[in-house]
Amino acid sequence: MNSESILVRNLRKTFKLKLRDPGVIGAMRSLIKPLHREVPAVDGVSFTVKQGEIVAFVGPNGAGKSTTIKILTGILHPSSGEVSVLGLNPQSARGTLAYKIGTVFGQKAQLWLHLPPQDSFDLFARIYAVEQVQYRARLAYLVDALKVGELLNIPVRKLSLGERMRCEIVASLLHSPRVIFLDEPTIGLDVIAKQQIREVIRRLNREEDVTIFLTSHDAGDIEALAHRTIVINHGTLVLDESTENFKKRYVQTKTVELVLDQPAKDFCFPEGEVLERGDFHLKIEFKNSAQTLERLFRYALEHFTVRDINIYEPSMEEIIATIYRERRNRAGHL
Amino acid sequence: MRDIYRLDKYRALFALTMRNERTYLLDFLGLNVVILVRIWIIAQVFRAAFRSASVETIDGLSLSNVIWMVGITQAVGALIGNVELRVSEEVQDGSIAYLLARPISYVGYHYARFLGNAAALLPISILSSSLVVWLLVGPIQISMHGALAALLVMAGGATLHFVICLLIGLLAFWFEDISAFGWIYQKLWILFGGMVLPLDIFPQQIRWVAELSPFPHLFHAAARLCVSFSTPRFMQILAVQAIWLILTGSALFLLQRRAASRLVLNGG
Repeated sequence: MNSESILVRNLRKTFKLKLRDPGVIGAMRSLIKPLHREVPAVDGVSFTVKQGEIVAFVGPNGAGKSTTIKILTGILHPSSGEVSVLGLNPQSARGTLAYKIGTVFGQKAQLWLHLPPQDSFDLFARIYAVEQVQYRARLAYLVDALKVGELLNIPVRKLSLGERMRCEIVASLLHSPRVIFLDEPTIGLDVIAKQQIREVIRRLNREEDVTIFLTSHDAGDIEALAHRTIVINHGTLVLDESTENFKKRYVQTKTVELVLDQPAKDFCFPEGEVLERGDFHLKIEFKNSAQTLERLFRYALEHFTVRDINIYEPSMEEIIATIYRERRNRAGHL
Repeated sequence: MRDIYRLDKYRALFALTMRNERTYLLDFLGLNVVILVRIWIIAQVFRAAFRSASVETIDGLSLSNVIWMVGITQAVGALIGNVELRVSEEVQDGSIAYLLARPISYVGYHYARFLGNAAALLPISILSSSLVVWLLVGPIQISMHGALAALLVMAGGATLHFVICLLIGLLAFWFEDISAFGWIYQKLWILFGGMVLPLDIFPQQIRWVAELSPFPHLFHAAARLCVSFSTPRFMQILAVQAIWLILTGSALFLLQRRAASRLVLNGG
């Protein structure tokens, strides 16, 4: 890791929302004299990302994550501030930058639905002006890494969500980008598909020194991938530190919900705190450690018939509340 | 030449669109049958009109000429792609932004797809319509000049139609629903574009005004040249098409610039 891949300095982006009073009169009034309200989506954000770094950019819905990514990829123009990706201004050099970056938007499909992925890959190779020899080698590498060899000739509409997402990632990486922006890449996927995608991201980062800028609501993605975590809320940056520290400080607990065949009142696990206990189900919170989780499962399976298990981590809203609480406490001590 | 304008990108898009259209072949064939029925009905109406007026020609056009003109115009006009709907959808769901992030021209992207769609569907439509018209009124003599001129004018007309549709689609940046604009354009084009009545049949004053509008120069002009070619008419059509292409192209250029500055996406 050496030079900076991404530089963001005092970035601001406001959206202009048209206001309209209800009813016909309101509609007429807004036609004659439209009223607007400025909504800040990103408000004075600054950070840098070094080459080869994997950064998780996290926050609750509406925090400004996707807006930031769209500005970094040249899709949106910032209202003010300085942005540079691989030394280029994403807005003025969008065409040049497009060849050097890859984007995966989990909720936007880029493959042609009625055609096999192979056809879309061929098209993307042309659009990104990848030489044929280089393209074949790159495709073989990605097909092997993402295990999509058997899917290449099946129409995209017939693929499962996980299969489709793996193919979407292949399409985004064909031109060997130096920086990859991943916006919710594992949304809606099953555990195995998530693992495969994470493994490929890790591999690309390790083998090709690719910079990864990732947004995700999945704490698993952040834990498994990111060297560093940046938390954004209401358009402002609330935290920027190593993922290890972030986990230690803010993802301290896990909650397990169990549905049992036997009465839940007999369940006794001293390492955890029971948050909720019904006739046949209970919620237990305990300190986040793999060993405790293992002990809890062992105890549950040895003494009860378990019908269902759900594991929760603190939500982004809870983590942000903790960060603010911690800050208030710190300010109070000063 | 800037990299985003490299021709092979658009050639690949064109080819892929053609392949994609083949997956909708059944839908297309169904629509094609509707058009053939429409041509048959129009032919019966004109047959009755010629018979009741007891005339051989109307303004120099025989029944056979009229049916051939309407048949060709229908075969092209009714099946050519409606770009405005796709563009307005892209504006509304924000996917226009993702396209803009690729090293490809937005207009070029849609034009390649539009041409791919036309190249996949129109030959079948023109052949089947010609067969039906031939069965109804017999063959027509088409000169080599006429056919080549018609092809050229058809390409110009299709491009003009594409630019107008794109303009309407981009209005989605300012209006929540652009279907009213699309509807008005379609009705004007059906009325003055020779989809039902050849322009030659209109009263002189209306015809004079309509001749200056872009509508008869979309697809009807090509059909007219196919049926009876004349060099002055061909040159006049090319000139009017060129003027409209310059006007609408300039409007598109300005609108696209304004639209880019209004680009607001869903999601934060």
